Amino acid sequence: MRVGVVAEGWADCAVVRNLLKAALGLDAADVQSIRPELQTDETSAGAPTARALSNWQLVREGCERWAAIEAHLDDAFEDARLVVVHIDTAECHLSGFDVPRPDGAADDYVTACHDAVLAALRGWTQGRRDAQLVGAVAVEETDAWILAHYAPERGADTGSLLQPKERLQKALERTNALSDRERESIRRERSMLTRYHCLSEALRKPKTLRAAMAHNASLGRFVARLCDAAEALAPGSCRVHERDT
Amino acid sequence: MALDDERRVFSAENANEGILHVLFLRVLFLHPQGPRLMGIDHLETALNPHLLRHLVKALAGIAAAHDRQALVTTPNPAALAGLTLHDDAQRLFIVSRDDDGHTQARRVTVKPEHAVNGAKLKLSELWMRGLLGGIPTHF
Repeated sequence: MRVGVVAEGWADCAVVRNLLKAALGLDAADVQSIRPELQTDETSAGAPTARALSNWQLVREGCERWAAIEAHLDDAFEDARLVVVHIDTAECHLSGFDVPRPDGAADDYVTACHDAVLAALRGWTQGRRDAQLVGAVAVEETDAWILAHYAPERGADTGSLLQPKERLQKALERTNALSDRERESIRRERSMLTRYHCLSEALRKPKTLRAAMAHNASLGRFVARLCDAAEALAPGSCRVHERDT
Repeated sequence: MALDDERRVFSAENANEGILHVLFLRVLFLHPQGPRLMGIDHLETALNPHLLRHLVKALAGIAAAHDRQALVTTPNPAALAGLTLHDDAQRLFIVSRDDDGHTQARRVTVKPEHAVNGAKLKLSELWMRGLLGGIPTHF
């Protein structure tokens, strides 16, 4: 199976890649970043019009333009193919995104926010290739997914916490899951792809992913949708439902 | 500039490297005592990408006609323009490493009744866009 990824940035791409390893057993070579990078060269990526857009706008643009996603899902290829579209909800209230942020104090805030952004994402893709397109909606930020591993809170969804990026940094300082050497290595890493790959490396194991899913509903919903889509194309491909391996 | 008659000869050492490479390959594929099975690393050496397409197509035809088989490696997407994946004798494999560092070879197959991407994109473009795999993933 080959999976294409449309993501806001390299950090999100790295995390999604690790989740794909846990959920479907895919290696990095099986996962292709459709966005960022591969649809442009440095000349077009550096053009003033491209620089003016924020990351979520580029994801929206990629969905609406569709050609790059359609090319990945081309029916001519005989291997099973999926595309994961990742987006954070942190800026969902902005003009152009146009998803009213649900009441943050409500019990169902995380799932309501997740479902509203997923519906917006489906609007951008106009429901095309619905069976092969998997929305990866991270409520607030992808950091909240990683936070569910390093600092799970009993009875609280890490997607409902404010400033997950800052919380994750603090959690990394005190977690026993990393050695001092690993902590320092991550802190010094300049490549966002490598940094977030290391940060979310533990989530490559199905057992660890299952535990994190219990503390972040948007992560759980993404993985469940991913497994459903993969199982429909290639039965037996989902590893999350298996016993620990 | 006109050359004198006696100077209108280009010796092999004056031909460019690409031409020598093409001549060498044609001899290799056509010579009666040439190998039936051969491995060729970096087929694209010293060739213009557009010429590479024609070289691949020509060698595929010669190999079929003269009972030769060649395992060819190339990091140049233009080579794919000379292949037809609808011919089972011409096979494309993506060779990469898995996450444990082990070499993996995966054949790229297309359904017989389909033009890849509706013929909107060339195979070489699909490779460059990452749609076939076979590109570095750690940048």
